[in-house]
Amino acid sequence: MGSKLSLLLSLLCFVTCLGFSFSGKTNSFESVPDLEKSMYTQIDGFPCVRLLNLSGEIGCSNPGRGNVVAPIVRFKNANEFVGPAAILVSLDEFESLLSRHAWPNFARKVAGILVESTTQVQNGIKGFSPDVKFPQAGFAPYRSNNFEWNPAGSGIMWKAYNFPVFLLSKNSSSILQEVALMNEKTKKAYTKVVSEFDLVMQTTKSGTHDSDSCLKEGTCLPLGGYSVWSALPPINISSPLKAKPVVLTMTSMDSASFFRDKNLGAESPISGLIALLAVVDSLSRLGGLEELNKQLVFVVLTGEAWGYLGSRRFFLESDQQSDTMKGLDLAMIETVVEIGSVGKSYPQGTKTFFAHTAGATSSVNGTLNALQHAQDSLITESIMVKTASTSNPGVPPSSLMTFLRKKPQISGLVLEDFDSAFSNEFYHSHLDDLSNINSTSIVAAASLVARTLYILAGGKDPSAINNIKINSSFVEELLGCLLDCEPGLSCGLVKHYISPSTTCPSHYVGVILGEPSSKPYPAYAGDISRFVWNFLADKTSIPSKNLSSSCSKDCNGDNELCIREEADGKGVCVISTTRFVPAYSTRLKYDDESGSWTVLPSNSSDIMGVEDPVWTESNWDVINVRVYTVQTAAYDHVILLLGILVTLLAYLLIVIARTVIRKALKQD
Amino acid sequence: MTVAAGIGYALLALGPSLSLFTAVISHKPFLILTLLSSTLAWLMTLIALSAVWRAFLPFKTAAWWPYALLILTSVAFQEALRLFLWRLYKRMEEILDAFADRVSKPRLFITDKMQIALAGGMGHGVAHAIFFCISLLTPAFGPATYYVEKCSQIPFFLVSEWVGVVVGTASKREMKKDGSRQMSCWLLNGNMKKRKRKCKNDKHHSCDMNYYSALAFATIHTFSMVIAFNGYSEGKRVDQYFAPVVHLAAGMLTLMNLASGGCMIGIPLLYGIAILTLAHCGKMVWTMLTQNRSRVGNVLY
Repeated sequence: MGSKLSLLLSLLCFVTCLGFSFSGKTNSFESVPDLEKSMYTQIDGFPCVRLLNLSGEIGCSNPGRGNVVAPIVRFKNANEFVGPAAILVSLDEFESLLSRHAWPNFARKVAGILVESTTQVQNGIKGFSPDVKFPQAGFAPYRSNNFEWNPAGSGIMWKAYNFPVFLLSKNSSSILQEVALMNEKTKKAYTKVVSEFDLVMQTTKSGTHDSDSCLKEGTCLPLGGYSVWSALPPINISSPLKAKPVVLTMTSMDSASFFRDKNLGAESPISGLIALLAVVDSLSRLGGLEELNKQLVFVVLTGEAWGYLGSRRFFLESDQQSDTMKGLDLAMIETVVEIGSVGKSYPQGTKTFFAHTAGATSSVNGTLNALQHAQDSLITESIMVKTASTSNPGVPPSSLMTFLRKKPQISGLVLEDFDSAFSNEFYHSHLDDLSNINSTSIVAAASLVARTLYILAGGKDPSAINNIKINSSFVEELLGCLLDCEPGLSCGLVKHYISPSTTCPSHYVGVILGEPSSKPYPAYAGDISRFVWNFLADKTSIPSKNLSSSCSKDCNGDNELCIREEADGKGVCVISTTRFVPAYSTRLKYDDESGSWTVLPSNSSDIMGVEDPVWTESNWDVINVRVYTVQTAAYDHVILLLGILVTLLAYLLIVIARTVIRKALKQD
Repeated sequence: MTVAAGIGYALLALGPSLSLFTAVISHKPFLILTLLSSTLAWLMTLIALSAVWRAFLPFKTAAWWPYALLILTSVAFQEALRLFLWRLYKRMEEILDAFADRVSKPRLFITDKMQIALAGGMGHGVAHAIFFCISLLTPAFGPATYYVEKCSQIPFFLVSEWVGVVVGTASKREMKKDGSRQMSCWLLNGNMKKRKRKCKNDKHHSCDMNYYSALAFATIHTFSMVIAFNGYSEGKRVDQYFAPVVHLAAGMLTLMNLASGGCMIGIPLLYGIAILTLAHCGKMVWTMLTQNRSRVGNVLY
């Protein structure tokens, strides 16, 4: 007994002595849900979603209704790995992985793909463009003959994949790299780290694999948004004066990408958008625009990356003489100037731009002369404009193509920073971000366009021309607002006009929600559209006579608009000609009663409609990806067996003990 | 993991208790009542302890000594409770024996006393297991599993069960001692809070420490309670001190989980203590039974 006690005491001592050697920081959970949360790691990822057209589908989706669970394996080890795996791949190997569709057992091997995020500088990626080499070639007004406007194009975004693909954020990339290494190194054969993809698309669940059937079933929605046009100075519709000829300046505000939500399109086309907004800003400060003999109209189109939805609808709305186009007669358009990608013109110090022209030579020459004049007035800024090479088959992919096909006699010009091939090596990819452009290039392009427009509109006064200056701090601010997450859409400039729904901007056109109308419900029109509308309305406005503070009731006059209503709740009533124009396929019709869309048969009057694939996006519930450790099934069964064994063994022992005790008692 | 693993873990924790219940307790309603009331008493102990410690938890410091203090005070509290329970049991025994005399029925037989003790101990053990183990088990039914950094060789849920198993099986026999009572489950850091368990993991404590130590202690206490009871009734010093010493030792052992990989040493050592208690208890039971036999034999003579 004594020895036992001393043994116990010595054990006690030993344990307390051990206590001195411990240290470290505490990491605690307060409850079981916390434990559960720490078992699963949420991964920030940008998915690639399922898009459909009239003949089929593109994009990515889970193959069925359930989540896809697969262990994480790095690309270089994927060949040795047996069974389906979630492949962690870096961007430069991504294209080659997808092209291995030709692998015989590719389908069985690839359960999902996780793409690491990199910066251009980090990996020295030469170019990455998931679009094709001649984007939207079917809409061109000339035969393409395989001309390569986008030489870096691989075309991977136009293919259909039956597995989920996610682009990881920087943090998640490092987490997953560690996890993949752990999976390879660990000797425990019975556990591995898996990723669970939730990218279930409704069209996959319902078996509708093209736009027509999915729109009928209501499992998808058509792509589209709201374009904005504005007149400077405002057009007086009720005036008896004859309408002036119109000089139309346009740009687009949407881009495309392999990954739905990582879609900045800094160079193509947002650099053009920023230049246009800077032009409007500078011209609005100029007086005397009413005396000019031409009317300036600015149009910001959306949906251009998905079949020129904005520009085609623009024409259709005009033909239908809808409210959205009141005051603008497209027959009065004399010249069209489009601002394309203008963010990369800085090589060798002189900012060189190229004018891609089309149309009647005489009017084109007039436009080119105006450009030349503007260039000369900007001699100190070392800006140069050249006409595009004659070996080009025509204008590069741009909204001007729609204009040329609708009105072949129109004279137009696209201002770009490239000649025969895109200078943007990341066209329509998630890497086309702020680091891909230069603000001085945008300022240069804007200065050029602003002065050209003034000259084209009939302005002759050299001092006035020289007074047209672009506010470069405004351009810098816009860059931060539209192309970065900080400050993003929460920047002061944007919040002055609207209350944005997100902070990180995305220039994906999105789907049309609800009924397309000239006065869309704010939640249905995208943040960028609403910002552009408010901005243009503000800059091109004349203050209204009734200076009431709240304009919700009193602002119903002919040309009166209530701007900045979201930002401060009250808004300001101004006179301005600024309208939303819905941008969606001309082959679609919205049915008011049922709230659904139908695809119209192709019409001979709508030539571009024949080419239109009618893009729709599948509905989806929730998209996410998470990572956790699993045990093999065998291990689980071992545990179950062990549990049962222990229970039975305990029962046996108890029965034996009971018998022994009973026998011992019975011996009395 | 899956439903299979979840059930497996649940069985590991509660299987022996379930076997015991079906084999012994389910036959007599009085034992079931004893089990339920001991569960209640155990929960009340918990509440009392957490009320006292609530103000001081959670510990912001990384040092080990606040936890040692916590353990010490819990042990002291529960040992005091043990004495109180012993006296209560004695009262109840007198009442029952008096009642038996009045209706000319036999007095509490030694096996009856053992069974009451068993039921009492099991009440504690089961309540403790459910309270600390089963709720932690719900994430086990999901697809993922969990490995704590400090104890990366064994899955968290398994560690929680193992000690429960070992100590659980050991406790069965011990509980058949004379007057084993509810064993206030001595709980370690976290069980002090009302329903929220403070599970520290990843560098210090792990939930499993709480988990298995809870089970381990439930059983170690059942044993040592039996030994203590015997010590009180027969005046043996060794047995009387056995319980507090073992209790404290086991408690301090859980501090081992603070160190990395400590659970690999801590758990086996805890098993060691459990087996020791089991052995001691077994020997005691056997001695008592043989003594009883010879006593009866003497009477008959």
